Amino acid sequence: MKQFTLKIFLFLLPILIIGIALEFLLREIPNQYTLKDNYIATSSRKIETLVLGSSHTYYGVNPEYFTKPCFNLANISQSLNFDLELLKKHENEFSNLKTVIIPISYFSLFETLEEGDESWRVKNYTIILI
Amino acid sequence: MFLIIFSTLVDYTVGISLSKTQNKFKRLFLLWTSILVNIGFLGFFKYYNFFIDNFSTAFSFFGTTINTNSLNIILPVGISFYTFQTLSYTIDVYRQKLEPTKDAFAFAAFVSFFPQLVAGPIERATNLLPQFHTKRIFDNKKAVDGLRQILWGLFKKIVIADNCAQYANLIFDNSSNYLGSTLLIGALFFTFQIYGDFSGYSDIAIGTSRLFGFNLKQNFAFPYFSRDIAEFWRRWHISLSTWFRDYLYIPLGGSRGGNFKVIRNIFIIFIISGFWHGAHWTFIVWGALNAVYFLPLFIFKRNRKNLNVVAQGKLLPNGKEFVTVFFTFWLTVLTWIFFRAENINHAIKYLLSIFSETLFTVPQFADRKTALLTILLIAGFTMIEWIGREQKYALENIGLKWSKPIRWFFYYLIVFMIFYFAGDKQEFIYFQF
Repeated sequence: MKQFTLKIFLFLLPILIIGIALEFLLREIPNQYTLKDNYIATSSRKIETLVLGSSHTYYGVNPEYFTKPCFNLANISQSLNFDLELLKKHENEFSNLKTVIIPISYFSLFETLEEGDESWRVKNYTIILI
Repeated sequence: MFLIIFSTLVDYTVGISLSKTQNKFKRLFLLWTSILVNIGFLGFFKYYNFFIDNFSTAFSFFGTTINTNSLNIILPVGISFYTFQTLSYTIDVYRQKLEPTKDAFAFAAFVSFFPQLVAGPIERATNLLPQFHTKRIFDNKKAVDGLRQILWGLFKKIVIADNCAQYANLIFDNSSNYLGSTLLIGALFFTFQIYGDFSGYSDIAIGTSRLFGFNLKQNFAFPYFSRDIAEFWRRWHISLSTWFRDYLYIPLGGSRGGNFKVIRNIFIIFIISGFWHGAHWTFIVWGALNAVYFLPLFIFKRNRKNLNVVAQGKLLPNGKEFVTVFFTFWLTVLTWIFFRAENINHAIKYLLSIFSETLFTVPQFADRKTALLTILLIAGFTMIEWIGREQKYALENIGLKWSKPIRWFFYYLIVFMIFYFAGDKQEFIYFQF
């Protein structure tokens, strides 16, 4: 039994190592979630207006047209619960934040990201919200 | 949870009570108590809405409307499997083929044995129950064999079944948009989906059991290499077909009592077998079709012609074997359409569309490369299954004589393929039964 357990462990070890390495490498690939998270880490004090929400604000609101420093923290299919989680994560960093724009689209009050077809995006939040 | 506990208590008590009486009527009463409780639960949870809806439809056909209430019943997981498993116990005790157990825990463990609780194999008490009474000593060879079987089962489910499912679902759910050639490929994908899914689960269940030192019966014996339908049914879902043979077909008279009775028994078995799968007319038609295919073999006494493995001991089949396997396989593919279709109408339209002039067109796939890759995976998989067709599962003897590095490389290759070719996650088909 001990020999068997040892052999199983030795067999699984390379798979675990490769799996962990791949996970680490994949997480290093920049994506919109990590890029925005990194921007906030470096520039949160400048932001006075924060835009949240889904693709409607992601594509529809351009911070460059705001008179005050603005940042678009919307993401595709981002639902209200993730708006809240992102706000809670960074609330202590936004020392100059005056306005938060929370859009209510036709689906906002009825759907969450976890329940929809885009639920695969939840993993991105799992990574940045730790 | 309550259901399985209640069913276990009833059958445990019935078993003990059967051993305490030799009175014919009392024994019969006890047996029927077990049958009615188990079949009653199964009937209610699985078939209540079916009968109510059809009852209402039948009345409306005669111009009368009756108010019926369908219930929102959730089918308890595994009920079709464990009820049959416990019934095998009480019937075998009644027939005095098995001594009833006084060990309630062993009996409960037998009923709820986790590797096979949800989707079989449906184990006989005569095989599995005694194994709970004997001390199991860890056997390295058995455990390794179990792991190999689990690995192969995972490959069948994740690589073959789940990849085939994506195309089968797409084509069946939108069948009116596709040409005959594509519909035929869709049926082929479903054929491998259901085999990979169900036999994969059985392999995982059997392999897991072997890790714990339990021996479960083989549930699939390479059915798609069958030379006729009779052989197919000796190789597909063996635990269910033998259950029906031993506990329904033989008590009905089996093959004795004149042609009419035998034909009646054959149809009853196949139709009930189909109905066991689900409360839809499509399953009943699927069962009936199999009875129609089986009947000529039985009448002309050819149903026990092919008892050994096709091309046993040879690398390739001869011409006749190839033709009979090919024909039986495609007959099965076309019959699976009824199993998968939404309703009879859908199945008939699907078949008619296959057998139209559009059969001789190039199949349409939005992503041709991935579809072709799936077909290549099926081809490779079939080759491995063919090589291992004389074993209990394809990988049983493959690689045993190789050196350890090569054998481990082979395992890693399968693991890599499982991760790399993993299709969209699909529920096990037989969980719904």
